[in-house]
Amino acid sequence: MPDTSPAPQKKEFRQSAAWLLVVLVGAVFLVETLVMVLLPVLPPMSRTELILMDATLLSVLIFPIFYFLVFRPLVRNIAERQRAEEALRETSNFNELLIESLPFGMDIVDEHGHILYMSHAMENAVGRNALGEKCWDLYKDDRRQCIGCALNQPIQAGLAKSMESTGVLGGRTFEITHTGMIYRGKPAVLEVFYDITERKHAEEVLERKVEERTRELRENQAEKDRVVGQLIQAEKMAAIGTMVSGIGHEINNPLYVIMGKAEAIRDESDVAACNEHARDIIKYAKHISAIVKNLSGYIRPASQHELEKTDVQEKLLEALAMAKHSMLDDRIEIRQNFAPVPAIAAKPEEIQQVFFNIIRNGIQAMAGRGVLEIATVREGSQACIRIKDTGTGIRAEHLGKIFDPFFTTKGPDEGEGLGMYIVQKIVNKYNGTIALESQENKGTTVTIRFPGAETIKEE
Amino acid sequence: MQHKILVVDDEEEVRQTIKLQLKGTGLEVVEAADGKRGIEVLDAENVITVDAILCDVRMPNINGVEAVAYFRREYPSIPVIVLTGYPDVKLAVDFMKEGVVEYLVKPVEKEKLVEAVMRAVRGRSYVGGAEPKM
Repeated sequence: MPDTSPAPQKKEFRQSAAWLLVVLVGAVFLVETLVMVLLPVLPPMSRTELILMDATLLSVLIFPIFYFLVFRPLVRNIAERQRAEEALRETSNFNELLIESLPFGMDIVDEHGHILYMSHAMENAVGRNALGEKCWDLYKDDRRQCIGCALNQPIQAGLAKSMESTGVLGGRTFEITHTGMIYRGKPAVLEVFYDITERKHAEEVLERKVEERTRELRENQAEKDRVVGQLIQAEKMAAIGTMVSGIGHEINNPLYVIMGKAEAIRDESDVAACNEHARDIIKYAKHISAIVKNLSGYIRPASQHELEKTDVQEKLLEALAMAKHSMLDDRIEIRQNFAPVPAIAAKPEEIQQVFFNIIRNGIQAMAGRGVLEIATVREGSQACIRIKDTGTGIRAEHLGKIFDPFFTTKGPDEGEGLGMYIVQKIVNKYNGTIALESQENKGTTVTIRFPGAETIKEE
Repeated sequence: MQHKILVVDDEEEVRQTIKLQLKGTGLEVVEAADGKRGIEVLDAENVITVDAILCDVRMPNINGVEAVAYFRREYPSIPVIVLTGYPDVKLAVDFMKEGVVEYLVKPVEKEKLVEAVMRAVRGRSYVGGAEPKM
């Protein structure tokens, strides 16, 4: 609750000069009235006595007015000035103490570098008071003016410039701040010396450490890239291992035809029939050559050189042909829905590996029966690839682990659990994204998006 | 009496090669383009006249594993030879357990194929057929 009592104001008024004036005027008025009342009964006074009495009463009236309006303010003014001077002295002492206790040296020089003032710290650093000497003669080890000395150009009062100087006071490094000022009525410069020798040394050490660490990190990254590269290759070989029978079938069938036809030529005397067999032999030899070429392209370690413009559909078809090797029968219906998509900047072998791993997983998930849909669609500047199977799907609790290394739900002979890990590594490497949608016993859709090669070039 | 064998393989060229290799053995070759067709051929016969079956593994519709299982179950007296491109030991063992008489991996030489087929046909002929003409 606010205090609404008028008491303090009343008390204040009673102590004020106005109150005293009112009391005095009132008192004079009462005395004058009393004199006027008593005058007829008093013995007659001479003119001089009347004048004296009036003068006395007037003095009593004027004195307080003079006291309060002239004398008291004057005394107060003098007292205030004394207090101000004392405060100034204290401030000055404080400033001096402050300046002298600062951990860095200071001096004031004229525009030619002659020292006009030196702080104690500066005197201690130099070993003497050197007023009048040139600052560079005193401080610099080579007694030469600093390169880019701030004194070469006039500095406006209040304006500060900072510079770094080496070889000062025995090989140390200082940051010197020059501030323009007026000293004893003349333009001068306040020089403040910060010793940064240790800081510079620490910075150099830190810089060296940063460089060293950066080099280590770079080397570690190179090592990591190399290991990932080896892992990608190892996964490829492991995948090939699981498909050996399928690949054997692909090659052995045409080889069988070639052998049979060659035997027929051996036993045949009819030249026309021999020619026909020879044509078949050439045809099937080419067929084998195509299979081997596709396999070699896949097995070959990813090239170390620049990225190539990679045709997504071509790599999808190659991967599909490879993955078919693992199929025991053809009851899996393959649906291809290829819309034109931009080429992507990548190593083609790695893109083929991505598609192969996903298609092979889809085929394995369908256990011989189902539909595998492969579609490409352009999404702005991106190439979007969708691979959908109608297989067993992925259990909800496994979805989050699909990209973990060595995570597999397959049998021991069907993979090492690195396929999808490698897929994600490669997709990320080319700034792509991969998304999985899966329903148990319904199937899985894998959607991959890669930025188009042109987009990458623009970036 | 001319002996008859059923060749089940989805590749026309492979079937032709088998026929080429068996040329001169006097065997009659009946072709089926997949397991399903092979089963249909056998099931359509009132009197079983096929003396041996030569069956591929990887085929559309009904593959070799399923077809051989059917042949062994429904026609246990007909010897089955598997002729496949899969050099897979596990697959071979499984087929042998099923009662397959031979597991031949392509490419197989003419002499070896003829010998295997003739051995199978002879085995069948001891049960009821005549000795095939060489």
